Amino acid sequence: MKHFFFSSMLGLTLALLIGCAPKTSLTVQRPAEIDTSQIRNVAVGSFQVETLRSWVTHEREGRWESQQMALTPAQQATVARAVRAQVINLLTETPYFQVVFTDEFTALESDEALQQLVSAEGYTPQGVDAVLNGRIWLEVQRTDGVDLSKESLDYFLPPRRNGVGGMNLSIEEVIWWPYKAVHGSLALELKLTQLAPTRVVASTLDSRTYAHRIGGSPAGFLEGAAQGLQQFAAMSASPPEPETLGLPDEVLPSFDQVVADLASSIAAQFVKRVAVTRTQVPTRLAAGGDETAKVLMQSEAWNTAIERLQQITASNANLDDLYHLGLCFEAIGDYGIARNFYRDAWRQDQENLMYAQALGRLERLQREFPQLRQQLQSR
Amino acid sequence: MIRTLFTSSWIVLLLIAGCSPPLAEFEVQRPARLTVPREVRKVFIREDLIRSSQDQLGLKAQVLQALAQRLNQLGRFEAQVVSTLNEGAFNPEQESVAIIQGEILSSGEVDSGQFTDIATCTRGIAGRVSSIVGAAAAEEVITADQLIGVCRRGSLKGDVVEGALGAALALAGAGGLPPKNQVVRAYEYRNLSLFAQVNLSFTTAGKTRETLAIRADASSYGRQVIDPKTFRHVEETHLIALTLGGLLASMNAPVFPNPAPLAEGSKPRAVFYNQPRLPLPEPGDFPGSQREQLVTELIQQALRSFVRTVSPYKVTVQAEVASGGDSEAANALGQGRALAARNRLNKISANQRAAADWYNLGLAYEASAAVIEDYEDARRFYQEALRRDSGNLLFAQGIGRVERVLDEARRLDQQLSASR
Repeated sequence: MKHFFFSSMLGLTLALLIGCAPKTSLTVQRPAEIDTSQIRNVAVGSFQVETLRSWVTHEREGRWESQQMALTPAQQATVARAVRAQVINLLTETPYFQVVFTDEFTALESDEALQQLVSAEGYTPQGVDAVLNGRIWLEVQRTDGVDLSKESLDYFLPPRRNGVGGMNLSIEEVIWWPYKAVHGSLALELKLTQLAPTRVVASTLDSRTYAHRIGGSPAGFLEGAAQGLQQFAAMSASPPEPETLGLPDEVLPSFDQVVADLASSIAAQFVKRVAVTRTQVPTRLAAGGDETAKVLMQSEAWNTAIERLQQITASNANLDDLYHLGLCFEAIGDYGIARNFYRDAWRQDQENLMYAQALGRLERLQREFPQLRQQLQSR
Repeated sequence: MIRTLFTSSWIVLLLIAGCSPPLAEFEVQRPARLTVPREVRKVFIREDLIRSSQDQLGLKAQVLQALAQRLNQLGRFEAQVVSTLNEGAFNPEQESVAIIQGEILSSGEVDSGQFTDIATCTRGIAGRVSSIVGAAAAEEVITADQLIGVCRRGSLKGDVVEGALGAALALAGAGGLPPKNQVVRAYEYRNLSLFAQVNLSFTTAGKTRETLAIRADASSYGRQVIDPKTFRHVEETHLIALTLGGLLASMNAPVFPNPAPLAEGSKPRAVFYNQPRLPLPEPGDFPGSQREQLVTELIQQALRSFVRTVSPYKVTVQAEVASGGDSEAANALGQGRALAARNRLNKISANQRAAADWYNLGLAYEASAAVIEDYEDARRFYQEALRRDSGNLLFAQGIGRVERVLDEARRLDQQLSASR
């Protein structure tokens, strides 16, 4: 126990030390995985439901029974629109595409009808470079079941009157643990069809599953430890308002919520493939260098940090300051200047891993840059 | 020893958390994610083009009114809900308007059921008192076993409180660490959930039509309701001798009142998923006017991203007030009187201002900013504070915050020029 306590304290101290190292975050652009540089205006066609099943299941005494929830065509259409809206949501968040809304494509009921339309002789699209449409396979199941497990119950045998015989004991007991669960899976095929010349630019089939369980038998050691950490985090955070929005862990999400979460996750993956995206990358600062510039960088005050570092490095070029100047220029997207500063620092200290990593990061960007530049310039 | 150390660490952490510095709170205007052409002022929210077939909670009218109200509050647009758009509502040759259309989905569930837990029961004065206090701190349900022991499930927070109090009571001579037994309990719960999704598009109409934005945003609320009265002990372990009134008290071997090693009482009797759909929550499921309040918040949250996409908006910023300078100015900032702080700090001559005063002056300008020059002044004051105390992260954060506002200012100016 004592050993465990001290190991934990040591781990916590190390984690705190690592966590306290000064950091900042840089916004990095990533090119699309699929070259869609010829496409600017995207119309969003219909999303077609291929399979949509929702059912509830219960289990008692080992007997399972299921009931399917019948979804009307109107409800199915709502699900299709909800998934479509989640995809458009993320597509419009990137400035890469202009999403065009036209009834011409939304009225088409299936992918086949779309392909027929665009391949028809003499067809000329008006202000639309490509059409995005999708097919959906969705299953959501809710379960009311019971776990069965043997648990040790602790018991203290008090000492007898003469003060002897007191002991801690345990007995084993078979206990029923009712639980509820929801399991959902969504497969979404997304197809981006260029209209002139007619070709399918991107076609992806991704699937996501979601599972959430409440109740049931007690958590195992690892789950128990994770729960303990969550409780610790909850204790450290400020107490929540008595009635705040959001779904706590002990409540299962509704059918609509599961659909929204799954669709959003798949859409994010698709957008990453076809559009330039931006990500925040946490970056460590060097141990040395001007402290004021470092606190400015931690606070993302890039312009003031650049002014200060330029003044400092003009008279006395400390290598860490040069590296930090490179970081500032990288943060504001001026990769060429950033690379010069990283290279200056690295040339004078070629053993420094941090300088080399920064150069490597920019070289990777440069490798991707022709693609990125092409993708951005075509806009 | 270890328990004492653990408890002391918690007390130190709580003391540190309790000594947090005062905060100044103020609003900053942020630009919309997209710039709507400046000539677009009128926004028609078209009731007839907003689907609501899956609006099970009947939120449509409330959502549309809330959207119009929010857009009008922000000042960029004149929004109104219309049942349809008549031809005479605007002249497309002379003006451009925006039309909002889309779909509202809402649902809710009441999910009832039964769960099992294992609780630990403590006896003795120290045990009972510390268990009750620990359970109260962690909002746990307590029950009593046949020996009037206090039973609770246990949680990190409750255990810390119970351990600390138990140790303190033991030191005060209220008995050693108490004997503990475990019991199996079954209880009933009701999970209430609400969900709203708003899919809206924003289309400008005039000489040309263009859909500028479409968003789908959802919000949800969920709560587990457990009635303490439903808790029942389905299995207890303790010495049978105590149950039988001392008949077997002289036996050496422990004897338990568990003829079969099965906690049969934990087996659920009812089937909870025997209908394809769970019922919708009724107004009576929420106390008082809580449902109305929750629905209002649900709608506001679902609309937030859409509103921020098309209209400049305000956000509340909390920034730490620096200590070590003029205390009256610092107090004024903490109380939200930024102009008073500004006036007071301006009266102190520049060479008498401490670094904290320069920072607080910047904060006062930022918190009461009316024009862009106020933000430029704020940045200057923050920079001066940092010049005097060069490693101060708080001062640098002020510069970073204001730099961001200044970067966004041009875009904001472009977006707001239409409404001036």
